[in-house]
Amino acid sequence: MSNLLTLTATQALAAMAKGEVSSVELTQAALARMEARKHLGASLLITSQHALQQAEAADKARKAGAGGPLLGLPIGIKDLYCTNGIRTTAASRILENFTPAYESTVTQKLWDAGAINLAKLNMDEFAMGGSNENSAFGPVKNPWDELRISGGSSGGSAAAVADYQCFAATGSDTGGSIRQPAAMCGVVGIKPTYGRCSRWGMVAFASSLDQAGIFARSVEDTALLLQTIAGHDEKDSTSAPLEVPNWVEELQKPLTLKGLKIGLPKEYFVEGLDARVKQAVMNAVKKFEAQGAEIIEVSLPTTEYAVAAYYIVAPAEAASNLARYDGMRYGLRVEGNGLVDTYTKTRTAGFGAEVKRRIMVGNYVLSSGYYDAYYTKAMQARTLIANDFAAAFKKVDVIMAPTAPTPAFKIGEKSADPVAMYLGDAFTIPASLAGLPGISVPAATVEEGGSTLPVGLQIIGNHWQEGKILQVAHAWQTMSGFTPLAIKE
Amino acid sequence: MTIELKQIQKLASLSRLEFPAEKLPAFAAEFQSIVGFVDKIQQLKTEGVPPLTSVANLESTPERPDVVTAPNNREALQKSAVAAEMGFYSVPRIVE
Repeated sequence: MSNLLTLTATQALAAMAKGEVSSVELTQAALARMEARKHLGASLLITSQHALQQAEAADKARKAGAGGPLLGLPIGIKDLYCTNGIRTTAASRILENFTPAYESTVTQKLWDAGAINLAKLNMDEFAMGGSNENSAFGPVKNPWDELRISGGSSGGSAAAVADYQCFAATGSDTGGSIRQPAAMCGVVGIKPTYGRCSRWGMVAFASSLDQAGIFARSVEDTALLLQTIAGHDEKDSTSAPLEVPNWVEELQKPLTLKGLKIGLPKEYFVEGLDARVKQAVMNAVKKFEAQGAEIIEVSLPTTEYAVAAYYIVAPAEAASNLARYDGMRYGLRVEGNGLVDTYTKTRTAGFGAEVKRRIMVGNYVLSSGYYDAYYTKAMQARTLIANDFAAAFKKVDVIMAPTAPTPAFKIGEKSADPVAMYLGDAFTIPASLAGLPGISVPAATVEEGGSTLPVGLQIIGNHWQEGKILQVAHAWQTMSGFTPLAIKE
Repeated sequence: MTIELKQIQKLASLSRLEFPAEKLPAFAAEFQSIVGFVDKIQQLKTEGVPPLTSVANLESTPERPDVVTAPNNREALQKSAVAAEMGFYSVPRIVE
């Protein structure tokens, strides 16, 4: 059974096309593993019956010669994508009993392409966190070492893909929530350019930063799912009216590494970066250089202000977006003494500690007298950060950097210090603030306290250059072979 | 900059959140450390720099045609309602 699950999505689709395996068989195997591995906390709701119905329909469609590019492929969905008739919580008590009456655009595209919905996956509450310890329903354990964090906020997605519970999963990235857990769980995670995918039906955190993306175990799989979910949607005016390239086809043409210009931002190789992580990234860079790539040092001077700018902009937008949770129309309601007391009791009971912190910080930086000093200033910082990248991309094709400053740390290790936790996103936040696409691929593994842990290599591209970063990531996959996690029974 | 407990309580009230008295000092310390951290932004020189208004790097974003399309899905939407009666949302009394 398990052998089926170690296939990549592309291999599983090919096996189904050849009639070697059915979608029902793959779905049953994945569901069984998901149930057996529940202790990791990766899933919040396993949709077994729904998945098997979809799988049966997929097998029938295949026999009839119909179906889309993901026909019969079992995947997982981060629990902030609204799924019609299927509970969607954003890992918050306030949405614990919320069942949407509509489908997000991204998930609709996946079902239209034939994918099977195995489960809604765990995450930090409202995607606020970098360790998945902020879920109201418990943390996600890292399948490489269950005492450690999975990364966040899409920790359930990263862990489920790494642990062979599904062939791929959706995630969302606001300040690193796809790339960082991908690095910590040793899988591929891509956050496309802001505007590449529709945000319609995604539970909102920070609307000028939130972007959908994909986790998978190979670059080809990542490309295949990304091209399925990308594209303009008239329900989201910030989704770009641009044609979506066929990235899978682009990957089939080998990339000439000779002359490829790779930028290394000097501000990312500083104090606080784990020496082993630095070495893993530099080893990868050297392999590209040996293949003829040109390594160029670039400077992104506003980097040191990026985390501060992010923790102004994101909480400000979150405070505004989360004002809708008032217990009146849907979600939790805790009756109080009158209307305002009901609002207050509902929100106090429904939101977790980190969400409350961000609402408070957001309302503080937006309040009269502080707005210009914080919010306007942070938006000016964003301009400078975007300008830094624009200048760098005049000299280089892609930028390479570590994804996270350290490998996965132990659950509980940083819980008492929110600022220390925030600094874990220092290398992913700048690209998010500039709206750029980024991918994390496994760079190497390191040994720590008797555990083998993965480390991520981040590849950042210019706007709309997902094809380029996928090609470079693919070249790295070919060169390094990645080091997949041995399947655990 | 030190933020007074009174200011934090006012902010909590405006945010429609409550912090029990025994937990307020610990929350205030965390809040102070976060605000202290983001205060670093004040050191950045931004004179003459316009605030970023769009990260999408597009000249314009298209608007969809203004046509009525929404189906009547009241029943489906109200399945998730906290309390609904006769097709209306039921909310706490605000007028005596």
